[in-house]
Amino acid sequence: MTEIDVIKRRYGIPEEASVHIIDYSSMPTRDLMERISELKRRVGGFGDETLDEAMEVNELGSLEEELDRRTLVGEAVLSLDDDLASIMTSSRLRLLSTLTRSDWAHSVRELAVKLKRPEKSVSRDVEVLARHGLIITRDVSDSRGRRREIRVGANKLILIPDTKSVSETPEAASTTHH
Amino acid sequence: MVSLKMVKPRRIDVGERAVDGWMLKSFIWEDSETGQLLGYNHHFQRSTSSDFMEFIRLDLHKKGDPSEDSPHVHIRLEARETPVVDDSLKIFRGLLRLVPDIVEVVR
Repeated sequence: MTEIDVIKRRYGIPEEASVHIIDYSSMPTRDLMERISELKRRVGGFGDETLDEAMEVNELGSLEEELDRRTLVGEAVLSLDDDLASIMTSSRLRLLSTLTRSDWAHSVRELAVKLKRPEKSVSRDVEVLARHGLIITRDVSDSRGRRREIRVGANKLILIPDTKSVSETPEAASTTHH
Repeated sequence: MVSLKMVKPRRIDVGERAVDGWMLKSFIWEDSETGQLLGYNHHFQRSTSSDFMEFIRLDLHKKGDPSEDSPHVHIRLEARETPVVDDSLKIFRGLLRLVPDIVEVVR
């Protein structure tokens, strides 16, 4: 029995119906975070009158669950379509290994000193790595002032080919919603 | 029991199929590892003999509002020529039994 058969049986879907699965766990982390930001901007301003709106409410909830899961287990997903060499430069790998040895780095400045690199270029690397879920940042404000703390976001890296979904009949996913 | 933070969500799109004179299209969200249901949109539509389109949608989703996060129904009637001539209705679980009557009324 295939996975599709199990799903059809679970939800009482007739044999002849086409089923298409979108697996969020194989969505690159960068795409996941960008989609969450986009949906948050839009969902805040509408209800669930149309099918598109109602679907986006469900999609946002599910994508946030997936991001929470990845954060908790320390997982990042990169697509082989990305230019990996341009993301994982030797400087960034060194930055990541520095973070591996500690918990939260207290600021970009502290990290730059440790790496003996200019603060500006470390800041840019932090931004790129955070965009892919490889590190996590948090803004802190205390007696020492305001700063951005940094720690490793993922200790497990998953590389995926361009297969964002498993599908019995890919053409079944309609784009016409009311 | 699966922790809410450890859900591995996926979306299941079910292609259009005919059900009792309606065309039904379904989207279901579930945990891919346990099958736990996270949400759904079941979208029914049909055209009437009087140039109207009828839409009924059964929704379950989490918006963070308890009054919204239970199964509910949206009903919508549209004229083919002039979109959205009539109002749409939103009905919650306790009123689901009234759906057939309401559809009759809006027709």
